[in-house]
Amino acid sequence: MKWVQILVAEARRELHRSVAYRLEFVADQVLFILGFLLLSGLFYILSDGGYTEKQQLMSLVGFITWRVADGVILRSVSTIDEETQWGTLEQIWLAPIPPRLVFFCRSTIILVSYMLRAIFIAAILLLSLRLTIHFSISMFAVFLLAQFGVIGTAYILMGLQLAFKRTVSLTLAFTTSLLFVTGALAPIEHVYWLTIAVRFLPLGPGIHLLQAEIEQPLSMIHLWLSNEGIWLVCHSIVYLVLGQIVFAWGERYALNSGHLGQY
Amino acid sequence: MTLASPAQAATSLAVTIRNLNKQYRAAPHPAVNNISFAILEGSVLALLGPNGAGKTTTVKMIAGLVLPTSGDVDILGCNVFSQRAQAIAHVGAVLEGARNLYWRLSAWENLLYFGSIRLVPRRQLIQRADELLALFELTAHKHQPVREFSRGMQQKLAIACSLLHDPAILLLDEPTLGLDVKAAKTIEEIIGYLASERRKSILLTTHQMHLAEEVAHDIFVMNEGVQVVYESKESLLKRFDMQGKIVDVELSSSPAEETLAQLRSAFPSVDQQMNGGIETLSYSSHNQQEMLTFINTVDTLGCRIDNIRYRRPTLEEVFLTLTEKKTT
Ligand SMILES: Nc1ncnc2c1ncn2[C@@H]1O[C@H](COP(=O)(O)OP(=O)(O)O)[C@@H](O)[C@H]1O
Ligand SMILES: [Mg+2]
Repeated sequence: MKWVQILVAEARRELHRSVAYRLEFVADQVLFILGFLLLSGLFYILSDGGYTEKQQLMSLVGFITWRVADGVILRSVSTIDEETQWGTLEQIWLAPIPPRLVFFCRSTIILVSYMLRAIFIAAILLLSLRLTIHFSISMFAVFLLAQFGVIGTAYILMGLQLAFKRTVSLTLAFTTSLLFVTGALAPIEHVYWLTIAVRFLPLGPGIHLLQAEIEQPLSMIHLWLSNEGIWLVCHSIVYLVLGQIVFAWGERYALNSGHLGQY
Repeated sequence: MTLASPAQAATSLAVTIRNLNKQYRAAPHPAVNNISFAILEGSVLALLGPNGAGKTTTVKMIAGLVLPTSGDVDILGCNVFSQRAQAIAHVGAVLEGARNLYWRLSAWENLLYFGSIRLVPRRQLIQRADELLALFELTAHKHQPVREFSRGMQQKLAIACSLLHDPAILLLDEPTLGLDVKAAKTIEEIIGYLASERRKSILLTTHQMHLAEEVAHDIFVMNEGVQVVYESKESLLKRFDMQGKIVDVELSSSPAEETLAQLRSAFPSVDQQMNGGIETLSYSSHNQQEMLTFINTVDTLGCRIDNIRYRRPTLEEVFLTLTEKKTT
């Protein structure tokens, strides 16, 4: 029951935080909506009319999935950075529970919060581009699984932040590059080595499967029996486990070097 | 020095630290070098020392926020490093210079958050949070964002947050740093209240000797990571008292430069300062005759004496003597 109490506390904190930062919050949503419209217009012009509705939808799904992942990873890492300065990180370490439990609840709440924003952004984009999407349960399952892998990735980066500090700008570069290398926005088929590498990158298999589902919807059974479905499950589990290992290492490092607080 | 604190005997130990060492990677010297002490239940230990002495590192090791290179910390019988959760459940801490709070959130939201992660059951948490707000006279600001608070109010709230789980032990690192005189006084009263009325065992570090002098039972002075003195406040002051008293000669106006120079040549250790707006010449000696000679000289040099007071050295003067001796 401990984690329920912590989950509620984190949800409440996130809500009040969003209200306190409401201007930034609104600006953020507008930025992402305009960003996508701009890119999509650019593709339309560059492809000389060959940017079909299906391709637009694929970009949109890729973009939204990336947007959630970007939010989860960046916020998870920057929360550690900020709270080291504020001294609240040490207060979390003073709680009689494993800190990674607090951070798991926190990442989950951040995930939910970014999913709600994503629904809003997606609705506006679909309306303004006059697109329709046939959303299925299996797509949602793929999306969630991909995001669990993203939480694992966030843990890896939080571990590095705990140990080395000042990794936020590197993290930003990393999440931004994911938008392009995973094929979230534009297909990457013409770069062979990238199509191989992307299977191992965070978010890669998830985005690939989601876009494949736009092309050809899959039932849940077919999804879990396909090689890609199995690969996605393994991929997410490996990232979650790796995340735990790196986070534990980073925590140890921080405790030894006094990096939990400002120094 | 035995581990049991020198102040009183026959009470049990809240915190025991044994042969604690910390060598930070890449640091030339150990930050903490083989120190041991104990905090009695319901007593206040002041950890004193100049900047960089290793006070904060010591506090963080007690709180399990920094792992020592060697040595042990026991909190009410639980080892901080091997039984972290049990040990830490007895501890509340407010660390140096940090906010220790979420500035964007209200006082109430901070209390609820920090109480929740400390696993205080909800109903109890709400009741405690309200009590603490009332105790610290913050009830009127319950729903105000913390960043709009004064430094003193923020510090009070940080202490309140550290008390939500009703810990037996409170660690306060420089609790009055950066506060104005009035706010510092309030914090001082709170610490006194928590120790005497709530029987909290308190470790505080400070630069302000006045604070230690008012609230501490035991004094641990450290410098460059090592112990300089570990003694009860009473016996420390008494010891220095026997080495000499201090005479304060209060003047009605500032002495001329020339007069002062003459006085200094006869009594090199004379100290001139303004004490609450009064020009004061202080002289310390263990020899009564010498003190009388000093007063006489001040008089014959033409200074108008308003008042003469004999007193014990303050903790500040003891502290300066101790740390100077150590470094020179
Ligand atoms: N995280 C850290 N990494 C490396 N050195 C540190 C760290 N924290 C403190 N120190 C060094 O350890 C010594 C003791 O510091 P500190 O415990 O903060 O002393 P105090 O609180 O008495 O001022 C200082 O020389 C300081 O520079
Ligand atoms: Mg310090």
